[in-house]
Amino acid sequence: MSEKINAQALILAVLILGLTLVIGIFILANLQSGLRTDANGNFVNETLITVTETGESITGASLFNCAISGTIIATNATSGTVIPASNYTISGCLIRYSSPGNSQGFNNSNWNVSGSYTYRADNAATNASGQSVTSLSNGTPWLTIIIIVAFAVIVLGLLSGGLRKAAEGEASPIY
Amino acid sequence: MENMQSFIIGIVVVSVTLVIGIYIASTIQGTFTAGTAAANAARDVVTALGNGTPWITILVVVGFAVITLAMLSGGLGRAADTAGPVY
Repeated sequence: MSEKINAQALILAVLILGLTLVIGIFILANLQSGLRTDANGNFVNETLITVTETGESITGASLFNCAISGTIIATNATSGTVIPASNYTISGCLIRYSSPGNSQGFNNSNWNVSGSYTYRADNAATNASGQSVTSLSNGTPWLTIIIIVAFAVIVLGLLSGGLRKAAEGEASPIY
Repeated sequence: MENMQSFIIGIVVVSVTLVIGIYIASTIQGTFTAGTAAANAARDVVTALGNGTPWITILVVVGFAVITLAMLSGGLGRAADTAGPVY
């Protein structure tokens, strides 16, 4: 009976442990997101290689929540021809070629683009938060180990207790 | 079990406190003129607190290892006691 209670207490404890970890990670991830500050940047004559319908990203795309703001100036890198706005679409910091009919040789070619973008900048607090999220995430694989070890201990306890009782039973005299 | 829960809650509280402390120190740093003693001191505080976050990984790993080893040694010890002597 005590082993049953131990197993129930164990499962409950691991569940609370796991939930606490998850909630802690959630809190820190939200802190990281909330503490980022708004910032902007520019890209001037940045060359995008072979722009197609799939799209190419500007360098700033690696920044958090990068989004091109306003209009851009795009030219064919070879001929210098200005690419009309109808020949591309912008999604975040990704520029995709789109064809209204006549591609004019813009599809699958190198482009030079200029414009500005906004993003959410990291700082010391968000870096610390991100590091803490990673640190807490290192704890979740241990939950599996704790469950396995705890159940193994319970099973071994059952075995040893049961075997002892069996040995004591056999030790009693036979009439 | 209570130790495990207290341990995890403690780690989460330490992490959140560190992050908020870094945020406060960096905000204060921003109010001072760059290059002044106060700004430098605030910057040093931010750096110092930032050096604490890698230790959280070590705390988590060591803490869970201690809990696991304690469960193993305690449980196996009880199993050995329950088994009794070999005749």
